[in-house]
Amino acid sequence: MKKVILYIITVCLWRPLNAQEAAAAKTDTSVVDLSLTQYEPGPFLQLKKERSVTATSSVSGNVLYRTPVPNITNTLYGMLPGLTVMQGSGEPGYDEATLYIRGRASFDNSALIIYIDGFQTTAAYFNYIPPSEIESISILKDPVALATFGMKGANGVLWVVTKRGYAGKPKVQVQLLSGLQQPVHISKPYGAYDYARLYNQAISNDNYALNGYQFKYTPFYTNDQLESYRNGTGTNIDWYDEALKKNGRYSDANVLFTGGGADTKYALLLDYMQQRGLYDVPTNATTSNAQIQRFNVRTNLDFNFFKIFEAKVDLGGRIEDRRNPNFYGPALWSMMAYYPANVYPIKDPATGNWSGTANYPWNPVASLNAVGWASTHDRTLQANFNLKQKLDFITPGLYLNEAVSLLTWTRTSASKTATYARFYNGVQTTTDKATDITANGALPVGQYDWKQINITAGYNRTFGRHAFTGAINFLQSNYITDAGANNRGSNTNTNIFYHFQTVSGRLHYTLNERYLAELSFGSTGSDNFAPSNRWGFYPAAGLGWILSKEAFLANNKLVTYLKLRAGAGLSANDYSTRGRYLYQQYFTPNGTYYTGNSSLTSNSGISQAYTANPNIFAEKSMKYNVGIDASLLNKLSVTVDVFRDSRSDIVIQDNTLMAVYGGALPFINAGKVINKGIEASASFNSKLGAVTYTAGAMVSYAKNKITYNGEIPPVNDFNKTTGRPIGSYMGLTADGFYDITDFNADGTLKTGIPIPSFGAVQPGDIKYKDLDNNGRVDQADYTKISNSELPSLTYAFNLGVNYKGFDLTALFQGASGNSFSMFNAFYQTVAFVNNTNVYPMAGNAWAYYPDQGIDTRASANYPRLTTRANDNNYRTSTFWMKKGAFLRLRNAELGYNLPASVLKTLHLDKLRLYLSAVNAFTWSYVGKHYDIDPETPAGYPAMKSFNAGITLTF
Amino acid sequence: MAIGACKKEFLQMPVSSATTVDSVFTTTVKAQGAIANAYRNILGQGLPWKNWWNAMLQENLSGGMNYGFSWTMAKDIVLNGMSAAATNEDMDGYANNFPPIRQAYLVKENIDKVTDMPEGDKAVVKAEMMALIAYRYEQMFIMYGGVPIVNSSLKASDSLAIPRSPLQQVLDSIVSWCDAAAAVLPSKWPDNWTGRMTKAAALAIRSKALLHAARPLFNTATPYLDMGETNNLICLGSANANRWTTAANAAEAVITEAEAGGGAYIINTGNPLDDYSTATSVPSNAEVLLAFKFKNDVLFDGGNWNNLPMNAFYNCRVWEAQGNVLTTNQLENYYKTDGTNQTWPGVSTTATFSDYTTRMNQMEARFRSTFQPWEMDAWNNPGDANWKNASTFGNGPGFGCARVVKFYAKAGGRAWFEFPIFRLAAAYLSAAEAWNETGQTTKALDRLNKIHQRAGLPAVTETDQTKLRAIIQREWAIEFFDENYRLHDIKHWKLSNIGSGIIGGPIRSMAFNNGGGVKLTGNTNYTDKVIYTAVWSPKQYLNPFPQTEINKGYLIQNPGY
Repeated sequence: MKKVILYIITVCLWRPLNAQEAAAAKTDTSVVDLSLTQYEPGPFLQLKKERSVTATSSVSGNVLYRTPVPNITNTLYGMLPGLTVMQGSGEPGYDEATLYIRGRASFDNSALIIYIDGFQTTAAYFNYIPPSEIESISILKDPVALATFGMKGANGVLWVVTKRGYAGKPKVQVQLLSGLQQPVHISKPYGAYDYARLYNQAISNDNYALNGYQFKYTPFYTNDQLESYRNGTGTNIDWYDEALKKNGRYSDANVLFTGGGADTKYALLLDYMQQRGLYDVPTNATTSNAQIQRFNVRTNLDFNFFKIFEAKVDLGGRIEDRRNPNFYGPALWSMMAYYPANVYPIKDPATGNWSGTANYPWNPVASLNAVGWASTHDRTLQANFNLKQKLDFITPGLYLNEAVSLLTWTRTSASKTATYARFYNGVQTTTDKATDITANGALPVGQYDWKQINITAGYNRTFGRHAFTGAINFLQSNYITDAGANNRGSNTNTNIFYHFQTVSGRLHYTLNERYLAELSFGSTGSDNFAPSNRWGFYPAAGLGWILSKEAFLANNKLVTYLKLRAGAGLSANDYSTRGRYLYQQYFTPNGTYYTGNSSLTSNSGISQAYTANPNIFAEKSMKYNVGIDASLLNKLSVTVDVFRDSRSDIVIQDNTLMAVYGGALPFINAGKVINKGIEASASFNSKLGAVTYTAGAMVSYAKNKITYNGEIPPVNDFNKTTGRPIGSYMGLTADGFYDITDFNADGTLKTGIPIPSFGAVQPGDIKYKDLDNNGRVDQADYTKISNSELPSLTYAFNLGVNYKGFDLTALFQGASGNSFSMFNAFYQTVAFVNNTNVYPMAGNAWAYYPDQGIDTRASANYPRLTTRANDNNYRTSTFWMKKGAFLRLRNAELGYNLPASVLKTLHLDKLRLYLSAVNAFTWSYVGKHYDIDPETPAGYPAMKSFNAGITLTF
Repeated sequence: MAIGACKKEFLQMPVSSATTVDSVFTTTVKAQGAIANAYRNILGQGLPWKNWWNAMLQENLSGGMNYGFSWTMAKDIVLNGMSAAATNEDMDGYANNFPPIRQAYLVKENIDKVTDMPEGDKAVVKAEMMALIAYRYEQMFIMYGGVPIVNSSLKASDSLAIPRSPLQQVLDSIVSWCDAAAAVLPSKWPDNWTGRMTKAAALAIRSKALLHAARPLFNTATPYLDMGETNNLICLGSANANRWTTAANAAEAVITEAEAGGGAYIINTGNPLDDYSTATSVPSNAEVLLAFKFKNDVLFDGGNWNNLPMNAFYNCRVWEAQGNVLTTNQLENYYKTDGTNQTWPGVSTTATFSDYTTRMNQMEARFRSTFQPWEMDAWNNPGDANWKNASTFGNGPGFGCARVVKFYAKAGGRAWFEFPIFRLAAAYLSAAEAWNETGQTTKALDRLNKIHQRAGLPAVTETDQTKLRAIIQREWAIEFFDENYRLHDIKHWKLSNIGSGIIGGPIRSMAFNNGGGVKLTGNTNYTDKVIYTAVWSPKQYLNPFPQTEINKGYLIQNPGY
């Protein structure tokens, strides 16, 4: 019993680090590899955590498994200090979150890289790796760890280790889980009555100029029509209700076999996952719900032979099958969002055919039922082979290691498609004809493969008070992608080959078990640069001091562990979104010109592309990190890190060149960003009688500033993006609405009121401040109006209680310092324009029709309604920028572990039953005030789920 | 392990199909690509060929047409004037003058590397490039005044802070480049190369520059707004009547070379409607000295709004082009067939629609070749289904004196046209204008009447210099409507009423059916009505340099911006 409790405590902690936790894990009866608690995950070295000088945060796969979601990225919320996880769509198969390590330090590519079992992989491979396969995920964010990655390390590394077998009796773990999924939030538009009522206002507003600049009520819908919408006899369709089910489903089942002896160890995992989406349509021969299913096999084998050899054979194979209605995703969701409730009944009453019109051709229900389905079929295999030779016979502690990784992925697509005729009031409205469903065979649509080889020479030895561990590694990487997916900047596309080599090393030294030092370096040669300019060298150094080993703290009851550490070093990024081969002068096809008299000859034009820069090179990062790890009273563990990342040499186009140059501007290494911040995490556990409780919290803060981006000097100083955080919103400053008194009788603005240059304005339109006081409101009045969408602060806290086999845990995660642009929920924000819908957000729009009893001038919180494109109102300004802060209950779980006595009679090691809830509650500013989900404001919503599961070990 | 050995090769860039600087100037065929690009990008100046969805025509700004649809670039300029922070008259922007100039220099400097081209041909290519550069500078000279002179393809590492050169220096450069080019260029090209620079085209560039140097805006000691010590950037420093003689001779040189060497002539078969139509609409007709031979042969690109071809702005069968209609301000310039003035209803006066039809039918041939009045099929495409009343009606602004169908005479279903950059007629009118200013009225009338009579109108006999000046200016406005002359002609003539009904002031057009929108058929009456008041201020005589370029600290801004 106690063991179980301790196990639960262990998995609740972010950074299991102290002796107590290690002990807990050791005696745990479940399958937990000890390496997580003993060794710090990272490249080349097996280094005990307590001796590390780096700031590496880790989380175990067992903890991640507790959040039952199909995409691994959505298990990472609040798990790793320094990792910002931004939720995306909830669409089955397309639901990855965006990850950033320590915020964003570059306005160029700021994507982190992902390593699985010591080799780099793609985000696509990582996204759908099942948590049951994972031993641990760490983020490497420290200068000393990242230097070894050379030109790949600047944005941080997500370091994943999969489960391995260990010596002991064979164990089998079976986990089953199933649950119901619901949207976290769906914002619904107004029904037909409110739609028609407000449409009348909008159309009247649009006639303001035609009516001699007077507000004359010129309704489109008659009172009878309005009445029919009000009393329910008119058409009033809730498209979300009609197209969606109440619940989707999620199920996962996996079996893990582990065991082995001294010379052979094995871990074999089988996993099946299935997610069915929200569409109210069966999956059969002609239609399909949105769904993904995944089949997963992983075999990790370890062999020792001939005394000096250690071999590893790791095979991870996966099949992902996605299927959708043939009209799906963002397009389908935008139809549900913007088709008004009164547009037509689902089926045309006169003919019984699907309704549709030229303006509204994609009846959402017909889109699910009448156009067939589309599917993709993905196959992935990662095969890693590793052979280590222990060369102790030469000198003790010396070894060589060779490793090869082969990763390959292909995707094929297949579909069955049909079209249908659209009818309205008995009349066919478009040229579409009803067709029989047609099968379209499997076509290849994507692929990549990645071959890597690592050759390592290492040395571990302790001489008295001196302990050394070090390694030198050579990595060669050969990545081939698909031309269709290879489009990051210039000269990509058919240049599908990505080659690089990195020579790197680490040397760690411990004196007297308490004074720590580490040197590391990475030297990368990248094929992106000119032959004479390919290699870059990036060193780093770190120091640490375990104070708790000093005499003055050795027997301290309060401080059980205390370490200070600091590191500094370089790393780089050669993968610019601006393109490859920027050193080469290209001429590119550019249009056609004609000559000739009676018959024209076409002459294909060719012109110089961007000016070559033979010195173009990788973006550079200088990182500093200072941290402290402490454990107090054996109950509270605390880690705090402070960092600074100075980026330089970011690739930009040299906009400072004078116009007379006339060439397409060259790319240069000149951009600069400073990013700094702090991370802190703490975990606490204690006991009160039979109740054990745990608490944890983490906070990550990162703030960046562009110090140089080669910006074309703007008209006014305050227009500059330089000096502001990356991705800051630039726009106009709203200043209320124009009032009737602001206008002359002929509809022109009164003298002295700045003239906006985004189209004619009328009372009720948004008024902007003329920041440069030149009498015009235009783009020269843009300034920073809001933060970026990336939160500067992310935080999480968890609580756990344990009583007699029952356990209850909850994980909250939140973010702040981010902005939310209402245009992210475009159809909800922009009412009526382009035949769209209206939402309660626009319910109190500016309007003045005193004869109708309408006068919202004093209280309006939305500009006057219009049915036409309005460049003045619907443009980025403070009016549409809101706070993006939110807090979510990411996961809550109630579990019960059967007592040992019962387990014995059942011949089981462990049996756990549990209920869990994902994303059950959200608190946010835009949710409260505007009925919008802060992270997934439009499209397929993020999912919340309620699940039941069982874990069985024997 | 063999990895070390192949280390160097492993990081080598793979072979790609892209063209590099080493390969482009190896053979004539490849070099022709660079030449074609120089032509297109230089000659496209001021034309809506770059697939912009919100492009404009120069006539949208001159008061000859309304500003078009509200989303066009023209609207802001017409209602608010030009500003250093906004898109301006040349659409492309000041900075985009230099990429095509650079392209021309690159060709000129590298053509000697081509191995399979005769030396004589290389000399001609170099002369073509000089003429193209001269053309772009001549256009900048007219729009901006003095501009920085670039003499070669610059390197990014060169000192690029090249200041504006005085007006005289820019003029001298243009003239010397044209002279040098004309000495080498052929008078005629073989049929398949028609459209490349000829001797006459180079002389036409020179003539246009010299004509503008003689006109009052630049030919003065007192610029339109004072710039103190840098007045030489916007005026020539003295009023010198000899500049008119130079301009007249330059125009005569074009006529002589074009007719004698190039085989060009003023088309006059005695059928004015057909003759003027041929001169403005038929590709490579006998009157064209240089055209923008850019062919978008899909009408409206099938409605792709992200890729509006040039025909979308000119071909009235396209919705976008239907936004441009004739204003009353321009309508009043046209003569009746008998050479007298038409009487149109005054401002805010309403008359019957049959009166509209009657008066329209009385208009001169050039009007009938250029416009399609409401409820009529286009005169310039008789009997063609593409140009019926209903075919070009579409979705315009609802008002307008008539639809614009110029450049598409007898084009039928052809989507494209060749914009005539220089027609021989311009040399005649240039000569007429210049001779009149030098007091040589007979010569002036001779040159003028060649054009005036070709249009089927009785000969002009006016001998009073001032009155004749007004007649010649009116002839420019009629003959060259929508050919990108008018806007700068008005400014360079410094017309006194420029701000009251020409570029600025009330812009009028016709409304129908008691002040409402025009209908396809069944219109009842028409009213001349002010559609908006355009802005004029003296600073707009020349264009502003973009603020972003000024902020780089090496350019002097034109006055008033």
